[in-house]
Amino acid sequence: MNPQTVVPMSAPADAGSANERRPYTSPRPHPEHSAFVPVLLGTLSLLLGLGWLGYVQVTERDALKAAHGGQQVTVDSAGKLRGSLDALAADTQRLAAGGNASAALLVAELSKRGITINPQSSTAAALPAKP
Amino acid sequence: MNKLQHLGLTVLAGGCLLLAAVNVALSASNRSMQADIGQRQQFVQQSVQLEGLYREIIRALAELGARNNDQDVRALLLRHGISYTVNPPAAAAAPAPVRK
Repeated sequence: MNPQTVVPMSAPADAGSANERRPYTSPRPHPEHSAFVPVLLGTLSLLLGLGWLGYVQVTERDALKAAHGGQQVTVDSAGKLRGSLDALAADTQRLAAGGNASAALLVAELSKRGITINPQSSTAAALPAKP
Repeated sequence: MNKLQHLGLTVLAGGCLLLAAVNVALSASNRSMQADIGQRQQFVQQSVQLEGLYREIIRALAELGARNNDQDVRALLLRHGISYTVNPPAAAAAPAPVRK
């Protein structure tokens, strides 16, 4: 029998001691993650959202332009009406000031209703500006 | 990130910035136009109310002018393109409808 030294396999007192004896190997390197894909996705999303918002704004602008153009005839008529009313009222006021009884009666009736006539009034200032 | 990727992202980000600026400008322009339209609408609505007053003044002037046979009032109305005729008393006491 070949004398051999048998070392009993006893449980190590500390399990880590065996590992500590292993030669140190650097941890497996992680695969390199580039920031390109996430940044690209974020930028594309932002671009898409802003593009959609711009499209909505342009559509709204076109609708507003159409509405503005559609108002023009009505606004012009209203301006003419105001001009006629102002001119008639101013002439009536001047006639009343000149001693005309009919015009004075009308001006007095209007005053009772709280309507005062300013002969120097002009509708031009009240007219909204044309585009 | 290589050079090409960096360039591509920079171009995209610049596009985003440009779009954001355009959106801000469009939004401000639209708000301004909405306010203008509202102001014009209000002007028209006020004018509708004034139209009633205008008609009342014309009718009153015509009635007074016809009743008193006032030539000054008749001339005033004529200057504004409004004429009236007086029906004979037997037919009707009131003047004929005013026509402009």
